[in-house]
Amino acid sequence: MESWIQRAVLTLALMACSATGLAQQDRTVLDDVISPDLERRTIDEDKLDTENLEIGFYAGVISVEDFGSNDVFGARIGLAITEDFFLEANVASATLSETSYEELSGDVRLLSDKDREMVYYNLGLGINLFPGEVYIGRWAFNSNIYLIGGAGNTKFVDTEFFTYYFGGGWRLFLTDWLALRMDFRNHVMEHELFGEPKKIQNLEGHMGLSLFF
Amino acid sequence: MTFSYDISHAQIAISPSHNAISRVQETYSQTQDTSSLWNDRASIVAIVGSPFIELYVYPGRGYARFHAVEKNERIRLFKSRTDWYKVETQDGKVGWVPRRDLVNLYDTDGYPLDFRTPSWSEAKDPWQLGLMAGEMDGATMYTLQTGYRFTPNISGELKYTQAFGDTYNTKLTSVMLVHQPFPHWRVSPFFTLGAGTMKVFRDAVLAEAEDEKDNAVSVGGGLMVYVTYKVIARLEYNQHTLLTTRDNNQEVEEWKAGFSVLF
Repeated sequence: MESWIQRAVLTLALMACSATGLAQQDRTVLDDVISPDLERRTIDEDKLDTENLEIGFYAGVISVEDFGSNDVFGARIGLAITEDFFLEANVASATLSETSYEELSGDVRLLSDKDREMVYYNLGLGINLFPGEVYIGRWAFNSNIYLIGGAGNTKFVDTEFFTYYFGGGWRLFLTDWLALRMDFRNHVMEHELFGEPKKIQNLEGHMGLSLFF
Repeated sequence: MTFSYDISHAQIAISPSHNAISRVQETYSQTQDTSSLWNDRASIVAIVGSPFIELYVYPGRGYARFHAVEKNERIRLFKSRTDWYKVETQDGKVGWVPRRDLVNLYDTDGYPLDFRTPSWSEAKDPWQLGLMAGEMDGATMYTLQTGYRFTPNISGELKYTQAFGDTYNTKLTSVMLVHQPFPHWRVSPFFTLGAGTMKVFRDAVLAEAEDEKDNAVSVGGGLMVYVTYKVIARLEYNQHTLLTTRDNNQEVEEWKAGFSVLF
């Protein structure tokens, strides 16, 4: 009984198979002969998985002029615009250490602990400059070097300061979706905390991991 | 080529019988060495029409090329990053191909696929995200904005602006209606009408320092320039009228330039 059904189904399958085969062959022959101007079919690209977003965390050191070198912890979200350009937003925080004056004078405290909490956020545009490959043992990893610059806001001493930054960095792609990042940036802003307006340069170096999805 | 095509159709035709399927699939995978992913709904299976297509190790024109897919071979596209597609060949090689190399791609029925890179005039993504910088009442400012296009002419935008004056700091959050009378022009003028809230934080050093919060209405306009179908450059002017509790309303002018990304 079972084998009878199987035979029937297989026969049907064979017929369907040869029918589609013939139909296909017919069209191919015709195509060759008259090569009709076929209309392009639109593709439904939305069904492909896009990987233009990058989310990451980083840790490093930021040197805030007059306030020493301090640990900095941050997060980023990025968007790849083209193969060359990307947008990136950052949020990070650091706790400022004492100025030299405070250290030398003993008891004098210019800022309260709360005022020493520094938070910055910014948005920047990056350009991927040098694509490359890095060989570690028998593995090859893709990498790129980029430049980035942007503007944002730095808050400390309960005041917000306009800050622009520029710098560069290096991405090492461990897989398609996971990258190691190393960045160096200079955050420039102007404050009047010590009376006179003063432009300060704050260098930051950090390392982090990024996920692409 | 024809053989593999027939087999894949046979799979569908004989689906009621399990034994038959597994036997056919066995033959199929032996000859083609492909996985069931080729039937995955989240991928596009296509046939190469150009003499060859090169696979890159990573999405970017500077990365190494390691393989060439020949004409009439099948590829499966399953992921994209910017204008690059991740593809798998029938013998299991996986790499990236730029969109510009896919112009001669056919679907499995033999119809050409539309992989042209859209020109600026085909910008159709409704969302935009952008950054602008400029001057507001003599102070340096920047704006972070996001927008949604309702019709070709009308968009809505949400803006967060922060200005840094010598003795004060301003934060403006506003909702705007944007009208583009000629959306099909590459350099397209627009007009805005908006409302929002402006907060002014004054430096504590000043004796009469007092933070203010006022509602604001704004009118403005500017130019949008379509750089590509994904990127717009913008130049914008806004005049904000602050509805203060004092006798006179205050007017604030703002000039800024920046860009937006469509997605």
